[in-house]
Amino acid sequence: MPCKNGLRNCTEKYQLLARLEGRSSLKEIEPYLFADEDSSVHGDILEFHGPEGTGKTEMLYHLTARCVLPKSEGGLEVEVLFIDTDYRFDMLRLVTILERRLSGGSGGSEDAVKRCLGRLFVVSCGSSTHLLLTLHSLESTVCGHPSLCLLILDSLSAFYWIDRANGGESVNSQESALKKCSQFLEKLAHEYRLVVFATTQSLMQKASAWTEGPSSAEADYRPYLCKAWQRVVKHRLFFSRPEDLKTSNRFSLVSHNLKSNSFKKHVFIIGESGIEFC
Amino acid sequence: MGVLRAGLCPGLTQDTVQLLRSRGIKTVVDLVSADLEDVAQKCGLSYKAGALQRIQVVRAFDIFQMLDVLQDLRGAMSQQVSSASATVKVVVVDSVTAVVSPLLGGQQREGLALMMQLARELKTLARDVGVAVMVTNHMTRDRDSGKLKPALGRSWSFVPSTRILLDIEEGAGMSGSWRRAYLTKSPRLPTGFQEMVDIGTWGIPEQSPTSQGDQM
Repeated sequence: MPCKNGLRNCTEKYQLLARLEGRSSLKEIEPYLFADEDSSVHGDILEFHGPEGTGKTEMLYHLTARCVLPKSEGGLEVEVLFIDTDYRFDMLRLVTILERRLSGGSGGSEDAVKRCLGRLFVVSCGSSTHLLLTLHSLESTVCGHPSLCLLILDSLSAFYWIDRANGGESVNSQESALKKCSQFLEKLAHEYRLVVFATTQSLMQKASAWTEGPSSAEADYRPYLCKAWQRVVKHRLFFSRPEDLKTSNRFSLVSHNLKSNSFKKHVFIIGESGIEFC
Repeated sequence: MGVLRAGLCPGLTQDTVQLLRSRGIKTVVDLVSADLEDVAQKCGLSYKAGALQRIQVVRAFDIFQMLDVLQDLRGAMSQQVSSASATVKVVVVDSVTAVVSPLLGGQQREGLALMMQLARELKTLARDVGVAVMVTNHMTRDRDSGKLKPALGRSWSFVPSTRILLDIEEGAGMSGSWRRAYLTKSPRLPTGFQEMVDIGTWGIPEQSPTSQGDQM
């Protein structure tokens, strides 16, 4: 049995199993992006990769809103755990998105917004070791909250340079904390059927001017995080934005399903109420 | 940069500016670095005690000095020391390029790690302590495309939550003090928004008859 925290009672274990079956699938979380997904599949790890200003964090707020909004407003009414590693989490922005998406007058929606926020847990981490310890300590939270379906990590690459400098000459020791984080994330996703979205920043430039591939966003991808992380990712979404901001406000992303090796392109705009797919 | 002139703040008349200049105080930095009591006495200046006194100027010429300054500030503010430090609301770093660009380039991992450590200090200040943090950065030319881009590279580009690009506006009927400000990154507003600013008068530039015609 996955949960180690004091579940001695057999009945409790079965109850837990029953609740686990109820965790949301990718398709339910965002049908536009994951229409082709098998809705019986739970527990996936997805990576959002791209340069700055391409909408990765906005996408996280969009997915968070979809999860925490009540069913009456088209949401899933489930809980979300948001791990913020760069002091980037913007509560004002999330509240704006929720307010815009909730129907009804502003009087009614303040309580409604509070109820939505009650389904969100935000945690900050200052280093990759801190992240690892946090993940371990969150296992009991995940266990105790059967309606917690989504774990967000913004961003996984925040400590990359600091880890590389602290690890001395050995690449293994540089990557060790992140490797353990990746393995633990996989465990959380697999055992508790969580969907994990993690953002990684495009810190590296592709050495050669390789233009093949389904899109230039993918061509620019140069994996730099540890192999353990590359292994656990099931989907990679490459975000990019148009070069000329004056003529277009359309962002695009290419979703690469690593299992089936299929690619799919999506286009979206970002409005007051968050992301809208085109 | 930051040359003192009449109207810059209440109480700063043209006569006062001349008087300060005769005492070797020409810029804002000179004024706040000087012993204000001394200046007041020598110049017979009765300044409106406040505005300029509330600007604390600290010099830091390398990354380690910078990190020390930020850590000291954070320490002073968290201890609730009732001094000027405790009421700091805005921290301005002019410029972050000056202390970080010597660290970059080559194979130095340590340089990038220090840059990210600086980023973390600035963000902690903003988030935990609740001050507004503003940094200035330069522009460089991209090696391949030749286009102008912000300096300090990709890793730094993720650090600021809001970015404003200032550009010199040239053209008929425009004075040399006009600048165009572009919002290139924002967590809450759509990017691409732009506004003209006259840095001579610190307001919306007054249009000359010719350019007004063009606008319509």
